[in-house]
Amino acid sequence: MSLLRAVLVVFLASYAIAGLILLLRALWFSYRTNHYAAPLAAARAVALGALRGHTDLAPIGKLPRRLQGRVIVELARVVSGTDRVTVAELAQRLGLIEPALKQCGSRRWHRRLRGARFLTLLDVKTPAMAALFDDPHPLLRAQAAEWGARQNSDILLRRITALISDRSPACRFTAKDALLRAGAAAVLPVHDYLESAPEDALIDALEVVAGLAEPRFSAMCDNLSRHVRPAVRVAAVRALASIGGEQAAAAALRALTDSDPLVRSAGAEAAGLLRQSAAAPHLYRMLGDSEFEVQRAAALALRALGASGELLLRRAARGPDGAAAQLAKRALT
Amino acid sequence: MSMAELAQLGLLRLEWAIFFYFLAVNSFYAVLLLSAAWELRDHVHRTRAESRWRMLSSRVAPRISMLAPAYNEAATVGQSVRGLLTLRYANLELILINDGSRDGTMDVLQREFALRPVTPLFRQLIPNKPIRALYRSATHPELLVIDKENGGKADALNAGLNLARGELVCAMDADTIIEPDALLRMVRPFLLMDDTVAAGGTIRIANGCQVHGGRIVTLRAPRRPIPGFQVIEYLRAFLFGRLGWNRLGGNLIISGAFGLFNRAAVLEAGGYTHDTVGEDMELVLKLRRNAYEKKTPGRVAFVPDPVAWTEAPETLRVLGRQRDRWHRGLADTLWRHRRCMLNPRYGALGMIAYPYFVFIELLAPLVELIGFLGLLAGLIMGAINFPFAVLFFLVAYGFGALLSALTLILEDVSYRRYPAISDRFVLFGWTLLENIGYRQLTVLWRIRGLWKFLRGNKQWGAMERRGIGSAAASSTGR
Repeated sequence: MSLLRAVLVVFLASYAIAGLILLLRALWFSYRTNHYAAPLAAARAVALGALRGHTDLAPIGKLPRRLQGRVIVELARVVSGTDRVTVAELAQRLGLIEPALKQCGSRRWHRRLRGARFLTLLDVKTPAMAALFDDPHPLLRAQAAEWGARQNSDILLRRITALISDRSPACRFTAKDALLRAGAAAVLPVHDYLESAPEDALIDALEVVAGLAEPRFSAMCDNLSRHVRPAVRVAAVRALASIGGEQAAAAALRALTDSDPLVRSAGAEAAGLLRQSAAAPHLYRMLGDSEFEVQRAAALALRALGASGELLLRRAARGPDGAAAQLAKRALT
Repeated sequence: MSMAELAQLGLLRLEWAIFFYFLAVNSFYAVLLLSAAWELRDHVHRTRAESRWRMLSSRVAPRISMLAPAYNEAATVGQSVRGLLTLRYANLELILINDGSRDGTMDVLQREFALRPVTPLFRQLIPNKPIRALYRSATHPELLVIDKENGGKADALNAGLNLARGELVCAMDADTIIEPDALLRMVRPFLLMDDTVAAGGTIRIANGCQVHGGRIVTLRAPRRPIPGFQVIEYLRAFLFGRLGWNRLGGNLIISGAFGLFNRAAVLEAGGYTHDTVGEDMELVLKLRRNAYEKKTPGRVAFVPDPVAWTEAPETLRVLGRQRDRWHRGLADTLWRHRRCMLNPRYGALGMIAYPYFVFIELLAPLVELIGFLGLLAGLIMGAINFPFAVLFFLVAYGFGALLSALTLILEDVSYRRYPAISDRFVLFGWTLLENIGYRQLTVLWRIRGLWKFLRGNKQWGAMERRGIGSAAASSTGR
C-alpha cells in the first residue's frame, strides 16, 4: 500500500509539473508574441527599406539577437543577386556574421551546422566555410558543397566534385545537385575528376555528366561505355545520349547488342532519344528479347523514331511472336 | 488453508503480477519516451534552418510516385486530388487507383481532370485484380488514373506499384490531406542513409480543423471527446512511440495513410499482402525480415515533421470497428511472422521489436482486462480492500496520463502545432479524461479484434466519414 501510495504521489506531482510547464510555456509564448509583434513588423519594414538604400537600422537593433537573425533569414530567403549582397551587408552591420563564423568553429556539430546554414543563405565568402569540406559530420560537408556551388570558384568546384565519392549519400546528393546548378563552370572539374575517379563513384559522376550534357565528355563516356561493369556502361550510354553526336550514336548501337539486359535497355532508350533510324532493325529484333524491360525500351524507341519505327511496330503487331505483337500493339495505341 | 483463502491469495498475487506487468510496460514506455526525446532533439538540430528549396528544384531528386487508392470517394476525390497535385516536389507522379467504386468516383475524375485513355507499356510484377482502363489527365499530365475491379486497398496499391515509374512510392489514403512540403521532408532518410527502404510520417487528426482547397487552414484541437482522445493517442503513438523506435531497433509500423517506400524493395518483397487487414504493418515486417534473411538494406525510419491529416471516427461504433480491425491486423501480421519471435537471426527485430509488439501491443488489452476483473473479484471476495483497489487503479492509469502529458510537452518544445493556449489546455484535459471510460473501451474493442482474429474474420467493416472540415460530405470506405 505504502509503495503504491508513494508511486501515485510521484505520478501526481509529475503530472502537475507537466501541466505547469505547459501553462508557463503557453504564457511565455503568448507574451513574447504580443510583446514583439509590433517591433518585429517595424524591423521587417526597415529591412525591406534597407534594400532600397535606407540606412537607419535602429528598429532591428532593438530586437533580441535571435529575432534579428530571424528578420535577416526571412528576407534572405526571398531575394537573390545584389539584394542578397545587401542583406548580407545588413547582417554584417548588425553584427550577426561574427557569431555565425564562431559557430562554424564550434565543437558541437549542430552549432557548426546552424552557423554554416546562416552563412550559406547570405553567400558569405569565408575560409571558415571552405574548412567544412573536411568536417567529420556529413551534413556539414553537404552544407559546404551547397555554399561552394554559389561561390563561382574552380577550387571549390573541385572540392565539391570530390564529394561525389563521399561515403555519405547526403554529400553525394548535394555534390551532384550543386555541380548541375553550377552548370558550365563545373565541366572542367568534373572532366578532370572522371579521369581518376574511384570506380564506385563513376555512376554518380556520369549522372552529373548526363545533366551537364557537354560534348567535351564524349570521348570519356565512349571509353566508359565499354567498362567491365554493366551499371557503368548503362550510365555512360545515358550520358552520351544526353550529349548527342556521332560517338553517342555509335555507343547506342553497340549497347543494343550488349550481353547485359540493362545495357541493351539503355541502348534502346538512347537510340530513341537520338532518333537513330539505323538502330531500327536492331530495335525490331529486340521486341522479342527475353527481358521485358528491353522489349519495352525497344518498343518505345521505335515509337520515338517516327514513321520508320511505326512501320516496324505494325509489322511486329502482325508477327508470330505473341508477346512482341501485344507490346507493339500497345505501343501503337 | 480453506479454498476461499486460497482464492483470495491467488487474486492478490494476480493483482501484484499484473501490477508488475504494468510497471514493466510503463518502464519500457519511459525508455521509448527518452529515446524519442533524444531522437527529436537530433532531428530538430538536423533540420533547423535547412533549405528545402534545393530538393524542390533538384534534377537529381529521386522520382516519387504517389499511390492513392480510392473506393467510393466521389464526395471528396476531386478536392483530394487537387490537394495532391499541389504538393511541392520536383519529380512527382500521382497515381490514383479507383478500386471498383460503385459511386460516381470515376465520373468526378473524368469531369474534373479531363482524363484520356492511355496504354502505358508495363509488366505486372505483382498480382492484382484486372485493370479495366488507364487514363492520363490532359490538364495534369502527372496524374495517371487506374480504373480496376474491386480488390481491397492492398490490391489497389499493388496495381499502383506495377504501374509506378518512381524509385520511391508513397502509399496513402485518398482522403488524407498531406501538407504541401511533406514529401520534401519525408524523402530525407533516403538521402541520408543508403539502406533506407521505408519511411513513415506523422498522422494527425483533422477533426475540428478548417479545410480549404485540400489544405488545413485553421488548426484547432477537437472539443468533442472522441476525436479529442484520439488526438492524444495519435500524438503518443507517433511522437514518442514510433520516433522512439528509431533508436531501439527500428519501426514495425508505417501508417497506411502516409508512408514512403523504395519501390524495388517492395516489389522484391512481393508487394502488399491481400488477405490481411493489416497490410501496412505486414509489408514493413516483410521488408525488414527480407533484409535480415537476404542481407539487403532494411532500414525503416520514422520522420516526425512530414504531416498528413486524417479524419478520425466521431462515433464509438465506427471507432470500435476501426480499433478492432487494427488489432486483428496486428495479430494477423505477428502470427504470419512468428518465426521472428526471439530469434537472434533477426537482430533487433527478433529480440526487441517483435517481442514488444507481442507482449505489450498485442496482449496488453488481455492483461488489462484480467487485471480489472481480478480487481473486481478481489473486492467482492474481500481479498483486496477498497483503498488498495483505488490506489492500484490510479497508479495503473496515472502513468498513462503522465506519459500523455509528457508527449504534449515534447510536441510543444518541437513543433507547437497548436498555438492557441486554449487548445493546449483542452488537449491537457483529454490526457486525463481518456483514462476514464475511453481507455477501457479501447481494451474491449481490441479484445473483440483478437477474438475475431481467432475466428478468422478478415472483414474491413464500414467506415463512415463526414469529410474533413465539412459537415456535409460523406463517403464510405472499407
